[in-house]
Amino acid sequence: MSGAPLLEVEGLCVDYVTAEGPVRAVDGVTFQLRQGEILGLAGESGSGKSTLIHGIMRTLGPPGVITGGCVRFGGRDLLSMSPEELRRVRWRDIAMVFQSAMNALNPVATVYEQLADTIRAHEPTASARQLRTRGERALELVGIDPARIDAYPHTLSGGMRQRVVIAIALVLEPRVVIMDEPTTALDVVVEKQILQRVLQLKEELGFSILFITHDLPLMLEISDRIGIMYAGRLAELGPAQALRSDAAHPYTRGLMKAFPSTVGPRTVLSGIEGAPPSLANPPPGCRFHPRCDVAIDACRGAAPPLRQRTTGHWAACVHDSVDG
Amino acid sequence: MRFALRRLGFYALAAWAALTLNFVLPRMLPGDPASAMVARFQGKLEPEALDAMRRAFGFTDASLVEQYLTYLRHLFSGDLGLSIAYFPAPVSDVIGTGLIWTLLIAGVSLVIAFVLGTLLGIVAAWRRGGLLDSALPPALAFLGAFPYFWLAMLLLYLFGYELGWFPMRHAHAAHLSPTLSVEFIGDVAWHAILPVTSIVLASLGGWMLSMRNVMVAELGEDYIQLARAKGLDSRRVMLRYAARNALLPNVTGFGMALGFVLGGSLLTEIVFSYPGQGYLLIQAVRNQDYALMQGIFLMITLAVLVANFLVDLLVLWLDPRTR
Repeated sequence: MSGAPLLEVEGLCVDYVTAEGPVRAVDGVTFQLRQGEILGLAGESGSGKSTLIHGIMRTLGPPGVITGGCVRFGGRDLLSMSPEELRRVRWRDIAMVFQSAMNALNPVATVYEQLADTIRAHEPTASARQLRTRGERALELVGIDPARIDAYPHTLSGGMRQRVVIAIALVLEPRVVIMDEPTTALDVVVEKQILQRVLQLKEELGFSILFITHDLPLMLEISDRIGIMYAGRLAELGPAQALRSDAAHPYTRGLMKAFPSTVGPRTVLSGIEGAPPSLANPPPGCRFHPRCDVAIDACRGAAPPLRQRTTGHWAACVHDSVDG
Repeated sequence: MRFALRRLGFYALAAWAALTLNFVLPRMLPGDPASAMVARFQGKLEPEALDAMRRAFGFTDASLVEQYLTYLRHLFSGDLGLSIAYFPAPVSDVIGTGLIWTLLIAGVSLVIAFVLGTLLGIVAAWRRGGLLDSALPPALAFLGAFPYFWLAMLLLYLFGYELGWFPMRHAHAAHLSPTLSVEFIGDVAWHAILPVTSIVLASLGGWMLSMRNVMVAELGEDYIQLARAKGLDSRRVMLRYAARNALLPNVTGFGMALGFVLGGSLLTEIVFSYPGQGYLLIQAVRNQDYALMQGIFLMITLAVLVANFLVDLLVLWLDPRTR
């Protein structure tokens, strides 16, 4: 199922520069995305998920700055590439589906122009005929009638716009697709349809997906592996199955209990007490300890590193087992 | 297309309302052109001659409805009556020459200010916080804070009087007659430089700032980030994506400014003794030339309507969401 590492993120740090000094939004995150897998990243709002992927893609706008680590694709460091080298790799090899489909399309350009733009930016010699054929094929892939190719975005429904955004991501047949909450703005029925289509396409075209959402049940359903982010750090990383049945970090367990299960006996839902810490002034040691019900003195000292529990299952917690 | 026709219908209605107001208002004002004229020629004209002139100016005892219909009939045949100030030239001829000069300096300065201001706004927003973005807006806001006639007087004093680089008055040298010769056109351009510069300097800042601000907001949109991420070169992102969208509010502003062009350059024209519409309007008021005033008001109103219709069409073409 999962092959060689395709995209490697190592010790990535991203700061936001503010008037009160830098705020570290992503703090030393390390993981690998393997050939053909779906890696999910989950976490509360503000845990650094979106910042992380914009750091990977180098699409951070000011005041975001990458302050450390490296991002390798096929052995080449994306972070040290010149803008022109980066421009060529980006989208050709790593494409991205943006969070808000409603605003991700240029309102004054047709779907065709926006697809053709993408192809032409990487293959300047493509003929008009080729641009149209490939654009239509990309629309067909995501389940849109190719006859709509000359439509303007405002004439399309939210679901169709999101499909168009996915078509733009797939039109160059990239090897990695990063999806930042691709379906949050859509209703559940449309969300399911679109995700199913994406999963089919992944099988057909063989790309890997880095999937970001705060919808944990959805993530457990579709991901091969899952990373849980808390306050800019990876709290836990492991196979979806292991996280579901044997979560090692108290924060992950809290998240699991915060969602209702659709099968099995009724359980009492419990959230996690308290609020995520301010990143401008994070608590020392493990950043989760003020909200953790099994915290001990050691948690307030040094930040616990990620430790391997079972093969490929890592957690950043001082406790060895669930019960401390 | 249906939208364009609907707009056209709206403007036709507005034009009719303007024509009618133009007929009704002077008749509601105290005093009338007839007595003004009697006073003007008092003791210099035979009563018969005065009577003939009154008839020529259309002061009859006919009912209002009849007068209104006559007014409309004359209007559609291009007859705006006779000017008193420039007696006996027809008002349409007097306005015609004034209109050309006003359209020239006000139109040219509006287009220059709009195009230049918009381009500067695009570059300032694109290099936000750069040298251009930090230096130019305050400088232009400073210039724009002066009344434009004051700037005109300053330019006139410095470059016309002190340095003598440019002519101080009129649209062209007196010894040249209007022809399409290079000499005449060059002379007109030379005369137009100071008035045009004064209007451009006063209005440039507004165009630049509004374009810059809208564009800065547009640059934060997700579709800009997507356009950058998918590998478009920055020139295309700047122009085809960001500027193309940011332009829409500015074009609407351009339409409104077009309307002020014909009446608005009045003071500039007076400073430079420029024979445009504004100069005519002053002459008309001074001489109680009702026919000329009425004609100028009508011209300004119609010009505003036509300009707005053209801008509506432009927006229709630029923004698919309005179709």
